[in-house]
Amino acid sequence: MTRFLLHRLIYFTLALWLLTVFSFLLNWLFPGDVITNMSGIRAISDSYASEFALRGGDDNLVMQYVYYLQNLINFDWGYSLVSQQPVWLEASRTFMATAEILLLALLLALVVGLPLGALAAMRYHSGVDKTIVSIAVGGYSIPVFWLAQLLILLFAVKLRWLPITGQIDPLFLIEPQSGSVLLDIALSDSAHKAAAYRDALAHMVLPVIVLASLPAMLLLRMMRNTTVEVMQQPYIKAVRARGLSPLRVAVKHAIPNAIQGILQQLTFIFGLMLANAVIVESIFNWPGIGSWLLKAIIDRDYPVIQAALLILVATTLFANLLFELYRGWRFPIVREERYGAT
Amino acid sequence: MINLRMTLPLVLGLFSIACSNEQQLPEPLRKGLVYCSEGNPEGFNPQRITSGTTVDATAAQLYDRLIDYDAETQQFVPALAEQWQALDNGTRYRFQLRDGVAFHSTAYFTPSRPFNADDVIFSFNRWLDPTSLYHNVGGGNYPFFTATGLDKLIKRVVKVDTMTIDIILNNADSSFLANLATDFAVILSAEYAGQLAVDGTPERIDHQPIGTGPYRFAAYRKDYFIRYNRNPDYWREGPQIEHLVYSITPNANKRMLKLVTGECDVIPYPLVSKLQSLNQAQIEVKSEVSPNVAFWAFNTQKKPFDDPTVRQALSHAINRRAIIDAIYYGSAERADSILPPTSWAYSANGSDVDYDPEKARQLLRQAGVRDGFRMTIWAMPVQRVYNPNARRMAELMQSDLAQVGIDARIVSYEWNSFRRRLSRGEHDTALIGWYADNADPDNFFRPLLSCAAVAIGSNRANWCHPGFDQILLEAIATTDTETRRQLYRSAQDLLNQQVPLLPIAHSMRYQAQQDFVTGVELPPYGGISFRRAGKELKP
Amino acid sequence: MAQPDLYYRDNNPSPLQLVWYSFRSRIAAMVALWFLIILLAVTLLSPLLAPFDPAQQFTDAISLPPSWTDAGNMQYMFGTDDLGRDMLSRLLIGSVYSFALPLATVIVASTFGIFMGAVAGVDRNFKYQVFGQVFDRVLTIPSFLLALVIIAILGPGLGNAIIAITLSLIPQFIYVTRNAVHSEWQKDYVTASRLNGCSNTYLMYRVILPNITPALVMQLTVALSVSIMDIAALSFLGLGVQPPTPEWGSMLSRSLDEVYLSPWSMVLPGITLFLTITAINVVGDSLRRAIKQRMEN
Repeated sequence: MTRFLLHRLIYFTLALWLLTVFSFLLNWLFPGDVITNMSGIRAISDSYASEFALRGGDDNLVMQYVYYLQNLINFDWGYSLVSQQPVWLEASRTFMATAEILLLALLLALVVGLPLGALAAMRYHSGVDKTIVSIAVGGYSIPVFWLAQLLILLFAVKLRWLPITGQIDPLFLIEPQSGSVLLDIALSDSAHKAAAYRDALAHMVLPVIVLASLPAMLLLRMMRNTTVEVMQQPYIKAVRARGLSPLRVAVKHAIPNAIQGILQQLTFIFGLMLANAVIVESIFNWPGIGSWLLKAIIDRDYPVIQAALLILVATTLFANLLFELYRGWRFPIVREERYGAT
Repeated sequence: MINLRMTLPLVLGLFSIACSNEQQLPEPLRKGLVYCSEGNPEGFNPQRITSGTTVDATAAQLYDRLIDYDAETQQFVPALAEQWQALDNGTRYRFQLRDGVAFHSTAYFTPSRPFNADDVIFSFNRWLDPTSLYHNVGGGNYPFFTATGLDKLIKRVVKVDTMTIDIILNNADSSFLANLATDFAVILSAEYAGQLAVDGTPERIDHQPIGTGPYRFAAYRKDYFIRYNRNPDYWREGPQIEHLVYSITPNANKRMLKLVTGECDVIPYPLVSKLQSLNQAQIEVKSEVSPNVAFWAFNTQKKPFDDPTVRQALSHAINRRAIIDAIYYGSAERADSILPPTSWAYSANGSDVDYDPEKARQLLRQAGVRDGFRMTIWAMPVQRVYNPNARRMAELMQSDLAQVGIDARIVSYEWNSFRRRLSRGEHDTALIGWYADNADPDNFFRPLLSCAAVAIGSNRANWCHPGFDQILLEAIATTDTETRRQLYRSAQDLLNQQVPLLPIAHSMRYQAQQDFVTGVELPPYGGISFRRAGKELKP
Repeated sequence: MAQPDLYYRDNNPSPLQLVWYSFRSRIAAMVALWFLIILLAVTLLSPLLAPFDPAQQFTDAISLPPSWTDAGNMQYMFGTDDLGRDMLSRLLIGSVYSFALPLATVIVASTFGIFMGAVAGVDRNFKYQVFGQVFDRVLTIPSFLLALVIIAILGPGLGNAIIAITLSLIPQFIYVTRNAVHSEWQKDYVTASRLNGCSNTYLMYRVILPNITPALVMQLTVALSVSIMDIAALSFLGLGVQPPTPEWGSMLSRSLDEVYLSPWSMVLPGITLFLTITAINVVGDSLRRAIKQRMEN
């Protein structure tokens, strides 16, 4: 396990390091002044000279990179070119807001996708199976922005059940401290926390459902296919021959092994969700990192673009690491510990 | 399968949470009001800006002026000045200030004294006196005062005693009081400015504002919200609500949806035709004749738009009739002058440009503009009272221009970046507009088309014509209405001939709100006011 | 399957043929495939089929409903949009941007990706191992995010969006090809050919490629659906196709302002996009199953 852990950590760090190099080089790829792109301070500004010195404007590339890394680690991420607000503050808030719906959506996707997938596999080739699979194929083919609009029309405009923008009704006066609205309500000294939680949850329903739809359908399909495969394995036949009930066979023996295969795909699904978050957040005005990035691209706010990309990519890498470590811990076969091999 | 059984109640639970929300409004929602504004404010000091979005967000809410203009009686009424008189043949005005007016007391500032003459002098000197400490804070650009010439008109402001000031003018001016009553001539706190100067953070004066208005600043998050709290010490009748929130929603369609779902209490510039088709009983639409104009400005400092023939040609190429139908759904009239017909200085003239692509092509050929010429149309990203959808308007024009062999590209940025880039003159042509700050016709000319306006970047055509400036100066130097009408007529004729911009439409001003909202006023001049806002909810 | 042949010859269908036999026995798969073939034909012929210029504005027919409703007009079969442009023509010409263009990006990306993947699949030493491990992590970044990175550098616009999407698709092709080549390389029949003294090039083209073609074809369908979705999403967000170009994603995004007055302007491009992507996914799924079937037999 230690060997596996070290191995994965090394490659994670290597990928992360490459990411910072790439992010550093972005400053040259973006049009305009390099120091301005890094710091968000324009050349006409008074503090430009000190920023220039601080970021090693006269030094060679390597030194500049060292300074860049230093600033990165110290959370000195410069200022937004548009709002002149510190980038790190907004980055951490928007990240938390995204993490909130992303995790809830992932949970929802797992809770919906896995059982339905297993159900379809148990009833392989039956009517239930065919219905579920056709819904799944439709479900992951529907463009996420179209689905969002259809749901808005149905739930918000026709039925008037749900609000459509933001995290919470602003009249609850919840200060965005952490960025995650559920945390912020807990941190606030509001006298109406229960009502605030209700309102915040109502705001979450649509974005979470839209964000969860694609991964839920993908998970459903994967779960079905892997479970079907597992069910055909000799060892399942063996347990069945021992007379275990079909339910017990599935729950105890088939599903855990099917999940092993699914875990491998979870990084891919997580990445897809992160990409979809950009679209979902901008439709529902969710103050997350995706909508932040999008606005920055439209306004050409380079320090913000850089920060948002850095965080988004680092998050995928980190999620990948977590999923792999969990898989390695839970399913030793993954570790490929070939003692004595080179 | 076990999980499935657990999911269903969870999903249903979420929906029931959502549903129960409607049955009874929690207390914070009863005591506050959400206004879904169309964009970010540039700052919180109306002295420094001209954008209507910023005026709506700040002027009437955070601040007071010396005098106000009552649109109903068409008279100036006392505000922070209890009374005033003109002295020395109208070259000196004496203002008697109101006693016992308190500045906002907030988390970042606690006033130690009430409002007095020092505050007035500080506020005026901020834009008037280039040597004053605060003049250059934030760039030293005061577009409204430069454009209206108020900074040249006022010689100085003198303190007579603690509660009396004199404003001394270089010459008598018919529009002086009207300009003082606009949203821009607000009063800031001298004490707060002094404290910030000691702290070494003078720029905060425009971002953490202190005024005497009906609301106090609480918080602002770009792209999301501005939050104000009621000012409990307001000197006249204040609002009934405790909190006022501007929920920033640039997309017009989303704003309307939010009104329907009840997330907004009031929205500006609703898409009226669509609101009617939704048939929502609890939504009220208010309308008001508004002095405004949408226009297409040509950047006359760029080739080939420096040539009047090219500008005329382009004007002939645009089918404005179709624009009125498709963009305004008939709630506007076609503009044949920059002045709206409701202005007393308006004069119908026969020299209006008509839609004539053949003539446009011929003029273009004459000016040496070749087929396939490429240009940009800058279209506002937000809805304004004068233009409900500039980007769509640009698309219509794009196809009109294609007819005469011009390849137009549409450019758009976030509202504040858009204005900043326009001021720098990065555009070829721009779709934008103007609405009047006061009833004087001068307000349509000098802020938009004078040489002074070029310098401060509010002249979207970058058009500086000395003869035109001369006419405007003559027009404000006299108080005789008939002479002024003549002068403004010749000004309009000159514009029709030179076409630095093509007037497109004069639009009605609309606002939609929930029927329980009361007291939200739509003054014909200037921004929205929530001074008397309240909610009449059924118990 | 006895064939009336003069000499008895063992008829060995190629792997691709085997997959095809299995594929064509599925009804859904064939329906989806025919849908795509017809769509491709329509796309190629769209300039001829479109009744009007997609940018032409009929000012007397603004927001006209489709012809099958009471208020509709046969002249504009699918109605018109808010600027009085013919929806049918816009959908037809839109297929060039929403379907043909993604197809082109996939072809370009696959050419580069498969070549590089094949090279990487053959050459394996320590350096490659390290690179491969890092590369695997790069792959966890979704293509849409990569496209956003590239657009952030190049700026919004159709040309840049196409470049961005093409570049963002390449890594997946490299990955799939490399893994496929790698797993085939270790099989006995390849070893046998190597012992026979075949050159690497010969091995690649004549020995390995036929065996990995089904996997590559499947990756092509995956990439195509991703590419269509990405270009539509970018245009929806205003970073791709610019007006007045008709593209399904941008048509959707501008229809939102009109959705109460003219719901068809949102429903039609949405359904077209949905059906296209569904068809591609069905084809891809069926391929996957057909490949599995071949492996099992």
